[in-house]
Amino acid sequence: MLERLKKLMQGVDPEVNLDNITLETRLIDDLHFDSLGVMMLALAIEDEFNVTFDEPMNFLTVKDVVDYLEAHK
Amino acid sequence: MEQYKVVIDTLGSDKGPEAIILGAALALKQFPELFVTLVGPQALIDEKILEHGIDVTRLKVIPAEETIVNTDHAYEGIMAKTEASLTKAFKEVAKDEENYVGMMTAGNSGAILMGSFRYLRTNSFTRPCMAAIMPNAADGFTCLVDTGATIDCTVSQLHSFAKLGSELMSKLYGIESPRIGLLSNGAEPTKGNALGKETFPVLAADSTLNFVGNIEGNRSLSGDCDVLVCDGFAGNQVLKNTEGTAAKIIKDIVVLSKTRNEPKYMEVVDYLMKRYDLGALGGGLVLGVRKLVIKARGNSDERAIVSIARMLINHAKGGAFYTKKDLK
Repeated sequence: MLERLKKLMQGVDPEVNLDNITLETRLIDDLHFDSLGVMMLALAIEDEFNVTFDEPMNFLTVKDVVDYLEAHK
Repeated sequence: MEQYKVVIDTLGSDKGPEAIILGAALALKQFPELFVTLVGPQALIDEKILEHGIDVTRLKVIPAEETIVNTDHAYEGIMAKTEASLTKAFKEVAKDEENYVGMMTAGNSGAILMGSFRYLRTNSFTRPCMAAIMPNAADGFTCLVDTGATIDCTVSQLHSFAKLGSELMSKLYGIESPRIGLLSNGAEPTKGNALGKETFPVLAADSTLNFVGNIEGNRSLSGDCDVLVCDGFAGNQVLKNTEGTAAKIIKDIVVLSKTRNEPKYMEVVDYLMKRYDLGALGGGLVLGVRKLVIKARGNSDERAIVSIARMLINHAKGGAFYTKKDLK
């Protein structure tokens, strides 16, 4: 799942260094995603994992995303 | 007669929905081929329909009372305020996109960007940006991109904006190979901030772009390039500085006209107003999405709405947003 997420993050920002992304990576503070970047990632996740965010995605770290997706499998 | 359908969000403007509704009424009178879907407060729209004698056979109303205001967080606004006029406007265009030319709104810029991506994104997942088409000194038009959507850009984003701007000017004005300039503080390749210096070789290496190098601020509207690429912070400054400077010059001429009792000076004022009154010229547009989304300025009056309706119709007919005739 992490590898799939990394590809989505690269889609949002091609300059993201995939090697540096771990579960602890913070979406805003480390990857520097702005609001539009966060939304792009949320929609990419919806498409890729067939989930729907009815509310704004408020994940702090990559692990938060993974946990959410595991819980909504 | 072919019909051109547009969605107009009546909320979110500094001047209130009345000015937007009046603009829609005037546009319906001026363009018999226009069909408008107004999104906003039903009671007020009904009242104004009667007051302005709006042709209801070319009008649809989608009731909405809620607004995504400028203090709302853009992402949360577009996600959580599902009953807001802007959200409903996007949903309407997305639901019937084959029949709509596009939409216009004077609402929250960030939310417009978010909504554009959420409802009208392309399959290639392009990051949208905002552009302005401005008349230049070579009797043509220059596309300024980005005008404020992405304040802190990356090299790949500027590269993407250059491609979107090039595609737009090619499509709108039939320019075979639009000249791309990069806003900088000097013409030499070595000039610029860190982002500019990194971006220069990337644009130069892209053989699909006609990159003409760095363009200084004082040449932004000289006509030396068809597309001027910059980050959203700089682009917003160029846009507003141009407008502010033009307004100052226009005001000076008006004062001179009065103090010297030279009414002929007002002809110059009229000419300049048509070219540089960006509020009346229309709005900026969101690039990188499936349909035309036009952002009217927050203080847009009815003239701007008519102008934007013209932009949408002109474009739907396969032409440019503005022609030289529109400015003279």
